[in-house]
Amino acid sequence: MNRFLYYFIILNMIVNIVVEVPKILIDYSHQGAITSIIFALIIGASLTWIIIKLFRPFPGRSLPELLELYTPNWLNKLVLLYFSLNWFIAGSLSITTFTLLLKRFLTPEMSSYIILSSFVVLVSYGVLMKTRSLLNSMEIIMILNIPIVVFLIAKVYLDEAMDWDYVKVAMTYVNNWPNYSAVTAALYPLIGIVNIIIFNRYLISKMDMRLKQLFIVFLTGALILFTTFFIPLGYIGFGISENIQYPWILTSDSVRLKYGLIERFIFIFLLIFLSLSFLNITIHWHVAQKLFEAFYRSKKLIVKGKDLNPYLWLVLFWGITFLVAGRMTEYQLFLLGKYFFNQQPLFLIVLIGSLMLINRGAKKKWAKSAE
Amino acid sequence: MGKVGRMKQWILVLLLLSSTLLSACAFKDIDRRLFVSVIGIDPAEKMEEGFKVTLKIAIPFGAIKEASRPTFAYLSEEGETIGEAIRMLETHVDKVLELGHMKTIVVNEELLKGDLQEFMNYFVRRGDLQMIAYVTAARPSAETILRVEPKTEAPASISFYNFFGGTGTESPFIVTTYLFEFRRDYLGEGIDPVLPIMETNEDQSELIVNKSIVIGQKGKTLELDPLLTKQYNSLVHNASGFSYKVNKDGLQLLLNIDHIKMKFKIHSDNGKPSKVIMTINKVGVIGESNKLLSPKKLPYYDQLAEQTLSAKVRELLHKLQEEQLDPFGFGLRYRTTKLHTSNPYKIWKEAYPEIDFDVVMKINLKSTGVTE
Repeated sequence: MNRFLYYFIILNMIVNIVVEVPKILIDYSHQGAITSIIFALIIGASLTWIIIKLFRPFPGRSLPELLELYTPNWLNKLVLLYFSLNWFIAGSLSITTFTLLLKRFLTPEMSSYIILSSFVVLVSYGVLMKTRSLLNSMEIIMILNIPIVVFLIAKVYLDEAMDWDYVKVAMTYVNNWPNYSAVTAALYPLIGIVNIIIFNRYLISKMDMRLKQLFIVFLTGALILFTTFFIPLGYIGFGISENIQYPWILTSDSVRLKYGLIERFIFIFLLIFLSLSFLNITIHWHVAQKLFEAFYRSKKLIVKGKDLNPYLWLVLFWGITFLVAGRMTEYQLFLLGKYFFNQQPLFLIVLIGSLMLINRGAKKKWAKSAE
Repeated sequence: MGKVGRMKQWILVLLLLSSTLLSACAFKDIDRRLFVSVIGIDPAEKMEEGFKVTLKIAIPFGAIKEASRPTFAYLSEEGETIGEAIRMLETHVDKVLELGHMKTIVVNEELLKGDLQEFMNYFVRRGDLQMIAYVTAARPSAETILRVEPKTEAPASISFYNFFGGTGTESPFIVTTYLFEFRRDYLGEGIDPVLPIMETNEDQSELIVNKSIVIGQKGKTLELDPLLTKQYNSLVHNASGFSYKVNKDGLQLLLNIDHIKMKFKIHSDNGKPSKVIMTINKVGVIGESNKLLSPKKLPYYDQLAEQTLSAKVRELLHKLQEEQLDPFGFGLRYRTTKLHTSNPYKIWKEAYPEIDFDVVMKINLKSTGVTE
């Protein structure tokens, strides 16, 4: 498997440790979170497999190109619009939650608009980069950050104050049926592969997945979901953690770096996860912008040979994000995130359906040209 | 350079210039802040219900060399809730009260007998308060303890911080409980938190921490004397520097134990917990003796020590059982052994008063010290 595919999958997993997913899972800890996680793992790993297999016949092509080639026009636009909205919402949800998080824990006195604009400006720069450059910068950021992430997580695992008995108590709730919301929340970190729809264009070699790779993806997913759900319980307790807004932030605040440069673990934790979130948001919006561009592109905005269309979409992104982030409460944001997770199955069905349509269309066309 | 290039230059200059605006928005300089270092909570004196909050504030000074003693300011205020009192205190000073560096919460012993949820709420809800702050009980009151300025306190340091977490002194008599641990175990079912008790001497020149208090649900508390505190602390937190005196037939030994490992298992009979088997491994050396010792007889000394030490542990366990307190988390462990549908915690609570304890103590003395 191409290493960039691993980056996509692992990045999405790591980023989602922090905010919404653990909250939802812990909310359902009495109602089948564990079975939901197992269920989601199976779905997530097989989805990764299916999507890679469906893209295999088309190396170097992105989904918008394929849709244009092999599907009817009306369908093509509809699907593109739906996808681009999805990616845009995913990005702006992360931005808004991280803004609130920073305001709460890092810079309580700063206006949220300033935090947001510093975010948006930086992300926009990344969004406007060439896809290939974005891929390379992703590799650099990942390689710089992953060792630190591993250290941080290991520290949380090995800390003396971690009480594994709470984790084991949580495991005694294994005999419950999975819950829909918990399944979708646990599924979300696992589907990082969907970014392939744009990046496939630049990824050519080794775009295959064998059993070994499937196993690796499954195992990393299991490890990350275990960390996401169980580890906070060892610090904030079981049965009393449902009323905690940010379980993982509280957890990271409970770890003390006795001999560290900074005693409070939370600041290093927040900064590292922030940088990875930045990357993830950039990727989300980059994909969203490319999809929007495929959906609608004005010739009027090409001024003197320079295409201003991406800027148009970016300005739109900014505006909506500012509006949303300025007005929403934490709880509304949380609910929105939950709804977004809950509609994931539709998204996945549309994605796989359109890929299958493309495959059928392609076969027909090739058969025709062979005649 | 082309037109586009110049445009880019201008944008860059504008961006750089705009960064000068940023610093003015939110940041308050260090000379406009007061760093609260310790927070003390007492029951209110003037009103029926409520709290008296005392803050110990570290006053910064220019150079450490100039100051011979650390300088602190104290603020006190009463309010119905802690948040209210702190808000009122903000009007008593000219600077911003910064709670992000607050690392010790001192709670009056009396308050621990009531419902703790109310005031703990404030500490957990605020984002800028650290969850790794130490929590300690105070005797006679939080305010007196806060106002103690020990003689050994160096300038630019706060002795409150050095007591706990193995930062300064490391003693098995000192229990360290972090805020998150306290919250977790207080609210959790099947385990009770233990807080250290902070006292002061008569002329208020020393802080003394060697006792502890177990806090159960519904205001049930039990004070552990220094010896029991040491036992508890060495078993649960593997506190280092544990020493123990053994007396038998005129032979007096002082053991220095440097490695302790404790495990426990719960045995069940007919679906009910019946016995807790606690296995304790201790490794150490003999530190002091009133007679000549022979290295050949080390196993014999092991045995002597095992007998007296396990009796002490048993005493602690029985005392806790009598009061139905459970700082070891036996109940929590029992909950992990059964599926939640069988309601193990209820079964445990019914069985705990009659449960048996089996203490298996294994002491491994490595040497008789430098001399025989």
